[in-house]
Amino acid sequence: MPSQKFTDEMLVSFADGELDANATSQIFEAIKSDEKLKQRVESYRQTAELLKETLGVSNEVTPDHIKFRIEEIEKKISSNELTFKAEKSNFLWAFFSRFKTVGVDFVSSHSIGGFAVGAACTLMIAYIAPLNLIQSETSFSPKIDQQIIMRGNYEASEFIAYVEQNGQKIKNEGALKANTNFKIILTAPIDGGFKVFFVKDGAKEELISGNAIKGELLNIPYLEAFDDDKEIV
Amino acid sequence: MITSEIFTELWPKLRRFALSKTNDTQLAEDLVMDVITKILEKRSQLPDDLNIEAYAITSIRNNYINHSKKHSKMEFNSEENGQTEIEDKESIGSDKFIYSGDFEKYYMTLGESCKEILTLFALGNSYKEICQIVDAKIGTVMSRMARCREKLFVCIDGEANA
Repeated sequence: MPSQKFTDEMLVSFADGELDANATSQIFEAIKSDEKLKQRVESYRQTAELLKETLGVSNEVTPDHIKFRIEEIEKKISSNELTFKAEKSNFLWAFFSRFKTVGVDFVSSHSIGGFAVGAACTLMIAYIAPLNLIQSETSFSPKIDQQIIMRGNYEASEFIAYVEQNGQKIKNEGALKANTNFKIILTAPIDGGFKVFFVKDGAKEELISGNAIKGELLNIPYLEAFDDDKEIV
Repeated sequence: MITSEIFTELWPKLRRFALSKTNDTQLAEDLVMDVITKILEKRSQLPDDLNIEAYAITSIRNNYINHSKKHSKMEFNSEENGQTEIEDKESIGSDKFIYSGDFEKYYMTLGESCKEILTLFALGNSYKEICQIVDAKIGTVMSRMARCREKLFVCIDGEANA
């Protein structure tokens, strides 16, 4: 192939070792007898060396404080776990107009009638009655009696979930405070996936899902419930 | 499994790429850390065979574009091939650039798309990986590579002969 047939694109690719074998061998042969072509290829090689010497990072190491920051991020994420999944819905408007996770992009128009946590299909804890809302900062007033009801014996099993709010464990028949973050905590009974649902009148809607290994403490974090009239951010 | 060790190893590359976009060390590190956090958060949803380096660099690139749009620093021009090319008004003559030596002034005369593709190449990415990151066809990458290398060489050669 005459040297003038080699485009700049081909020559730079040749210099960078990115050209196919056939074209590479053609250029390799051509530069043996074409000094001008050889110089063009050499100019591309020189710029490649210059770029790698100047912009390359082969001799750089990650500073310890950056390693620490990255490890801390991973620890925090691992402890919080999870993938949050939520879709807008008008499901369950009775007691809360909004229910969201704090610090992640999740805003929903859910209201809580109850919710359920299930791990790996072997354990289902259902809050079959509406959560008991303690009025604090808003004008909301529960219209009926509400309480948390769990299936299973909490005292008998380490695998039963509970809610933690303001540092307090809220168990069966406990009350949930309005406008305050709370977490769902559960130890995974087996390896596998788990899901958190809203449950009311037998209907359920998936809110959060994730994976866990047996015995892992799942800390489903930063849920917040608040009422119709006052949005808390 | 995507772990912190992967990002510890990738940090110099990711930081350098971000720095080539921002010319600002703090902003570059913030962009990288933000991308690392987001990837770790959604790692369970990512495919096992994901090229994490290319994915992270692409995310940094996208985050930078979003950041720049917000701060109205950039103009988006349509290239002849339909790709979106970015022209950074602050690039030329910026006093924030941190590379040392004469290379700095040659490099700074290049447009944003040239700096991007040359930095990706210098960081060890193949043409195929560059295609993925900048969302362009191989022909486009080869064409840009030749054009940008020629510009760089002309600058250096002109200076040497001056």
